Formats: sequence, C-alpha cells, structure tokens
Amino acid sequence: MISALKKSVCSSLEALSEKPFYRLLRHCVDRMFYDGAGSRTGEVDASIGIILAILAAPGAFVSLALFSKYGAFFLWFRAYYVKDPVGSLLRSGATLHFDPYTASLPDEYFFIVLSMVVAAAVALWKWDRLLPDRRDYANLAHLPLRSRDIFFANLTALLLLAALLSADINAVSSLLFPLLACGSREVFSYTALFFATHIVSVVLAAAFGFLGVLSVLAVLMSALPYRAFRKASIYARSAVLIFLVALLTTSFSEPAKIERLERGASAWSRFPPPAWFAGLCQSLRGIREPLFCSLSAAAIFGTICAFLVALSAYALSYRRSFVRSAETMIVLPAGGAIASHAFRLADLLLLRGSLERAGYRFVLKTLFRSEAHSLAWIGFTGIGVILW
Amino acid sequence: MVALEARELTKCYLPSVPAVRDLSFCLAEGQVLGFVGPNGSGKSTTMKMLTGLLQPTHGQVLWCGAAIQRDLLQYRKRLGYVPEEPDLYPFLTGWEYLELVGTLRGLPRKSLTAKIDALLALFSLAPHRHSAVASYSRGMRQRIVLIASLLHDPSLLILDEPLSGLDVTSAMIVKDLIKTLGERGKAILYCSHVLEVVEKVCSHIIVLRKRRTLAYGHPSELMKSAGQSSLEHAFAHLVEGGDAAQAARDIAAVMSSV
Repeated sequence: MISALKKSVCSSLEALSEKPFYRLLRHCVDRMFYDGAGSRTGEVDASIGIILAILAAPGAFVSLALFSKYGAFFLWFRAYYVKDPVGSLLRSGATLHFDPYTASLPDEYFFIVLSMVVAAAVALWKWDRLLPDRRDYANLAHLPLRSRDIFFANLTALLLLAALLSADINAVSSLLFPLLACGSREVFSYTALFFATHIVSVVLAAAFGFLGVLSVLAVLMSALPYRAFRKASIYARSAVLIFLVALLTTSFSEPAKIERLERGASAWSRFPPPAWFAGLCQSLRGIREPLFCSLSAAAIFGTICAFLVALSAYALSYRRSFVRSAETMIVLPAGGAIASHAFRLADLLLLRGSLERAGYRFVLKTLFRSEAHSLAWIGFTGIGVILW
Repeated sequence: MVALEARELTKCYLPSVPAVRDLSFCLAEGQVLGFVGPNGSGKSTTMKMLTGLLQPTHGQVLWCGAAIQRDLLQYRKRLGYVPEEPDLYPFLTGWEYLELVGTLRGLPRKSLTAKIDALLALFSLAPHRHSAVASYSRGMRQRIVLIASLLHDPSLLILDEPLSGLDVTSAMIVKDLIKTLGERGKAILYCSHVLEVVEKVCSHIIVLRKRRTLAYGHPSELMKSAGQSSLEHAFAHLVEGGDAAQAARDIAAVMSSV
C-alpha cells in the first residue's frame, strides 16, 4: 500500500513538473538559492543545506544556553518553586515565585529579534535574486509565457522562501524554548499555549523582516531608473544592515524598558518593531495589559502594511523593470568615484610609498570586490562595534 | 507564402528620435533573409520588435497576415530566437537549461529528453551536458542557445549573430543547417556582420543604414547594382561610401608615425 502511494505521489509530482507554471516556479526558487556558482561575479555562494543549517543554528544554541535559566535543577537551586498551575494561583491571590510568561519576556524578545533580523538579513543577502532581472528577461521574455505567469511564479517563490526561512530559523528554538521555559509546569495546555504563541510571534516577526527588506528593494527598483538603482543598491543594503545590527542590540535594553514604561495606548511608537511582536506574544498569552494590546495591534498592522507595500511595490517594479526591460538601455554604473577620492586622500595623508599605496589598494579592493563581500564586512564591523 | 511581414515599422525610444524608421519587408516560407547594417543602424531594435519584445511606435509586425500582438503567445510558440548575447543562467547545466526552455514551451517530457540528448550530441556538447553553464566557453553557450531555439521545431527563426564565438566546425554545421531549414520551408531572418556568410546562406538581403532600408534584394542583384564583385565590397560601397583599403593604410601610417 505504501509503495502504491509512493508511486502515485511520484507520478503526480512528475506530471506537475511537466506543467510550464510549476517548472517556472521551481526555476524561480532555484534562482533565489543559487547565486551562480562559478560565475565571474565573485559572489559569495553556499549550498542550500549549509545555508539552512547556519540559519537554524543560533536559535538552537541560544535555546540550549537557556537551560541554566529554566532547568528544574537550577530553579530548585535558586529556591524558585511552583505550587500550582498558573491561573488558579492568580485567582487565589497567592504569590507565584516563578512565572514563565513574565520570566521569559527578555528571551522571547531575543528570539523575535533573532527571527526578524535573520529573515531580513537573508533577504538582504539574496537582494539581487528576489525580483526578476535582465537575465530572466533575456531568457524568458521570448518564450510563449504570459507575463503574469512569470509575475505569479516569482511571487509564489518569494512567499515560499519567506515561509521556508521562518520555519527554518525558528524550527529548533520553537521546540526547545517552550519545553525549557515551561518545564516546571505540569499542565500540558500551559506549555501548548506558550508554544503556539511563541510560534505565531516569531513567524510573524520573520515575515515582517523579510517583507520589510523586500519592500525597500521593490520601492527602490520601481522609483529609480536601472542605473541609479544599481548605484543606490549597495548604500541601501548597507543602511538596512546597520539598522538590523542596531535591532540586535535592542535585545539587551528593550525588555527592561517594556517592564518599566508607564502603560499607554500609543506606547507602541516608543518601541522598535520586535517589541510589537513581543507584546503580541504576551497579549495572546492572555496578559491584558494596555501596553501589550497596543503593541500587538502595531504588530498586526505592521505585518499587514509590510505585506501590502511589498506586494504593490513588487507589482510596480515588475512592470517597470522587467516588462519594460527592452525599452530601457543597459548602462551599468561606472562606480568607484567615492573610493577613488578616499584613496587620493589616504595617499595625501597616510600612504607615502608607491608599494604601500599599491598594497593597500589591492587588499581593500579584494576585500570589497563585490556587494556581498562589502555587506559581509559592514555586518561584521557593526557586530564588532557592538561587542566592543 | 508570406510568413512574416514588417509593415512601416518605426520605433522611437525618445520622442522624435527614431531608432528605426518606416522599415518594411516580407519574409516568405523557405526564405533566408539576411539583415545587415553598420552599428547603430537599428538592427537590434528591429529584432526586438519582430520577436514581440518591443512594441513599435508606429507600424506593425504580421505573422501569416495577422498582427503578432493579437496572439503573441501563439506567435512565440512558432518562433525560435537566438539573441545577440547568450546570457544564460550560470547555475544551470546545459541539459537543465534546455529542459527548462523545452518544458516552458510545453513540450512533452519524453520526446523533449530524447531531443535534448540527440541535439547535444550533434552539437558536440554531450560530454559537457552536466557541467554548469558558468564553466562553458562563449562558443558552447552559443550552441546551447542555438539548440534552445530549435527544440520546438519552429516555423520562424530569428537569428542574431548565431555564429558568434563558434569554432570552425560548429560554424560550418550551423551554416549548412540554416540552408537545410530554409529548404524545408522555415522562414529565417539572419542578422550578422559577417557578410561572407550572409552571401552564402541568404536568398535575400536587407541593408539598413541610419535606421532606414537602404537596399533590398538578392545578393547578386545588390553586388551588380553596386558594381562590386563581393557582397562585402558592395556593402562598403553602399553603406560607408569610403575606401576601406585606404583607411587601413592610413591607420598603419598613424601607428608607425613617431
């Protein structure tokens, strides 16, 4: 029976793969993952398996590191104890020594930031691959395909990528963190609620991060001419990357700020986006604070806005940059003007000998040889500054 | 029977600056029409209009008497196109690229696989079929694009510099292939700067200059009207109006001057 089912699934998959739309969809997914192995662009490339493993690793390690905070032995050691499931305790007015909902807020915030930042960083990494480009136009436009088929195939691929990223980044942590945090509780429904609310928050945060970067890309692409877009691309990516690194740093300060702040309906505007999702998480857990209600409304509204902006900007950029590719001249930006001025200044002030000048030029040009390399350097420099 | 007709095609990228002006010609079944002209004469723009990638500002392209824009999908099903630059996906192998194109053209899997294998072998690419396109030479990429344009047995072939980057053997095969396909009733538009090849494979030629049609006819008629013994000289006479040999001597003189 199993082999018959397997055979039927295989044959239906094969039949599906023969349909042009599904082949196009598969191609769109492929082109997002493969940057062009062996191409002369100098792109940093890695296989899908490695990428997915790297993305899942931080959540897994942080979850394990939290064992010291939530493990039953450690709780006992610190003289925390739980008399009863939550709820009955609150009703009776007894003191709850260890409430996972409250105690986990900083960690919940961290997982939300991590999910959002990693999803956005991947979107940033795949920036050039997210929307159909001139190579796609050269290869697909003369084939008997409707323009809307290419549009929807790429859109579906984008949504699949966003879903895959959300699932991958949070897969291990979504399982480990609720089990750890609620390990001292005996009621399954408590852990289940924790698990469900955690998943909703981190997945929405990842979607928000991914769609946010996609919106920036699509808005730039639809607003600027091709040449200007190519020039602005690296600056926009660097700015978003610095913003993401800054978001990571909020993990240390924001949870305490949430706890300290006076409660108000418009309080959401005083917090960065990850706090909105932390508020949503707490709100879904039944903590009816006005601040959390305000933050959760901001989270839902923000996600819907990010989705709508990304979708409309994607449609606009598709029409402007892809459908009308043949109408526009391909003129690549000359680039390097800023670097050239910087080198001249360095020559004047620091670098005296010709060997010194040549050496510095060679090293810097090698390190910043492509957008991907430049972004990696900006990212690591940002993290270095934070750690310092 | 006329397969493809360009009727008073005009394309302006900027208002009042035409890239092509009032271009008209007919391409019959079995005809190989050469499309020649100096750089900037409007060849690429015309090619894009003929493939439906560009909308003409004025005029229209007709396929079997009907405007191609009325049913662009059906027109493209009959069209095989080789662009000037083979900008293939570097992460795909040659086989995968052809499978992608064939599937997107709606060809059945079984016959597609057999066709790809056979064509790859005939174009001497069988040993490289599972190598990434990124590792291909210019000529290998060109052969992949040529195969992709032939997979669905098109009625109309638009070839923009199809011999570019090909080695001698492949170029000879392609030249003979163009003749054979012409004899089998395919309508072929052949755009190239290599006039010796154009003279050999094309039954008719259009010469473009400054975005307009300068001459149209059989190669021998063009040579006769220009009073030249080869198409190359006739072209130089028609288009440039200068003495190529004298220009070469002048360049050599400048090079050797102190």
